[in-house]
Amino acid sequence: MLTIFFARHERPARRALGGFIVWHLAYVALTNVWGLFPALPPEVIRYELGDDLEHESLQGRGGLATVMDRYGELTGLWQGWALFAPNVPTTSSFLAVEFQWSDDRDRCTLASATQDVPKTSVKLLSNFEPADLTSFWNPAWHDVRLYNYEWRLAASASVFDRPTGQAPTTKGLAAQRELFVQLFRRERKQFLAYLRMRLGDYLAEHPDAESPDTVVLMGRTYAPAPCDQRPWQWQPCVETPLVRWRVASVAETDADALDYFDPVEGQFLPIAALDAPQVASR
Amino acid sequence: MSNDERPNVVGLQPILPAPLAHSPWWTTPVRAERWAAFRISVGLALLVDVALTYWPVRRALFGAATLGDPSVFRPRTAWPLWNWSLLEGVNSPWVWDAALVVWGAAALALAAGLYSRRAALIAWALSVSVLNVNYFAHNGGDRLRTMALLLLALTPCAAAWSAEAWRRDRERSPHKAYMAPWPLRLVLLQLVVIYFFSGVLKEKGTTWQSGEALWLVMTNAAWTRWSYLNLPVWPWLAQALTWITLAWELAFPVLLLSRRTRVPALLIGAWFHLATGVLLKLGMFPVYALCMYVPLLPWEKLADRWSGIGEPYSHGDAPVETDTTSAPELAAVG
Repeated sequence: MLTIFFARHERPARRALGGFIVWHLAYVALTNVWGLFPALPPEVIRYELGDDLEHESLQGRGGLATVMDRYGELTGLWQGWALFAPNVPTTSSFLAVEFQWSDDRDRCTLASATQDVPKTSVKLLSNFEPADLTSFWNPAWHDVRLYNYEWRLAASASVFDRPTGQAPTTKGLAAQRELFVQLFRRERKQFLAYLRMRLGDYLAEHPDAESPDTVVLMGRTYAPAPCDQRPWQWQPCVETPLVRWRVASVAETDADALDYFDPVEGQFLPIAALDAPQVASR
Repeated sequence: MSNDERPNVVGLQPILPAPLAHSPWWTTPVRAERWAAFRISVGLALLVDVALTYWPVRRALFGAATLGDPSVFRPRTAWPLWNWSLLEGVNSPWVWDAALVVWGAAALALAAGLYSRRAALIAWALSVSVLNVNYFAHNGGDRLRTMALLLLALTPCAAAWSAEAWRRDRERSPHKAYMAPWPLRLVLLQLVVIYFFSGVLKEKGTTWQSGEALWLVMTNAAWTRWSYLNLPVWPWLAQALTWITLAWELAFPVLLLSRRTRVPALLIGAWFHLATGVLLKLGMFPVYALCMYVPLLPWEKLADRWSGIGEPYSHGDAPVETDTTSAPELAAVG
């Protein structure tokens, strides 16, 4: 049918194709240039945003940028390429979950008898965290998409990176909190989906265990020692609480059952407690 | 020139505005084998992708109460954004199974050159749909895949090395097919853009300026497939490679302009993707990126050797295949 159409309207079709090519070239060039001058504050434009660089940068530009944005979305051809830019994380980040039960109840009926499951908490590391950092080989390809998902969330842990041996300052912690809250606002549904999956996997493996009261997501980061240190080794793991899920909470929405960890206050807080500027949610 | 000697240019040839209309690089038809090789490589890569990276984890990625639960990425397809997904709101695991089977079948048809454009269109639609339903499971390689599939759907990708071409050639004598060069140019320019703008962004980064970047990548146990202590690299070498990478990315557009620097630049790029594909958990990104290099190879020489047909346009009166001298990338590896 298309062949017949083009045979009848060949010249207009050829012009239309030429127009499409020019438009696409302009789209690729302009959106990438605009990506260099993002509208968002520079501290947000980090590797955490990855592929979203271009989208973020076009927000609020209006006019031609909006049309190009819509074109990229419609065709799936949106631009914004990072390839480890602008900076490479200075730590290896992994996620861990801790299931917590209230102390006043014996939550694990059969498991508690066999001592397989502690009564108060169980911590599970990520499948992607090597048991021994000094010697591992992971050739698997089948889980790269799970890895992509988890890495996106784990990258948020590197928000709390600081130079080795440097004590945290109140100002530094406040800046980290602001950045993490921006990420948390945008990604809390993904955080919750991840926690649900981990809990579901755990309960499937432990059918006699009751659902925990809370699930805590932790970032586990390993900083490399200076490259000239001999023998060379990673520094000890630093664990940072990131998000807490009140499993039994009767929240208005599921994502409202999540609290974020405030490094300044040193405790979990509900997102409603914040008065921070909101990053546009997509 | 007789009608038999006239170049057989398949597909719609665009009417381009100046200055593109005056550039042989944009207007001289190219042999269809190059685009066919691209079609086959993308089809095979997609087949591997669906079978190895989606199918085994589909129950964790798609459907209700999974990482891609319909509620999780719904804002992505909400107004005023024009992101879309044919599979939005789909919870049934069986529908997801069927979608992946259709996607795999489309990849196979694309590679075989059977109903190629329809297969590419279906594969593109599913590529966009799957990406938007669970965005976090994807990376830049999946966007390269989407771009490749859309270009294949818009172009006569089955003009050579396809079941369609084989069937056509049985009915009439075999002939060389040519096509408008624009899709190959867009693929190459996309590569240029990826490298150059990544380089510009890197140039702003402190870890790239200091030369630490690649050493930090290699010591990142979350990214590497091997422990750094199993595969150590001298820090000075990592530093040199960091700056070479940065310089190569920034210079890539210029390096392509000269015949002398073109081949090394492209070989470095291919090596970069091969090495990162082996060493790092980048998923299908290196595979799809390498597919972008496929149409740069002179596949028509292989086709001519196979078919035993000589070059009919070598007398100077029908300079259709001037492409190898006018297009920078086409003469790159040959």
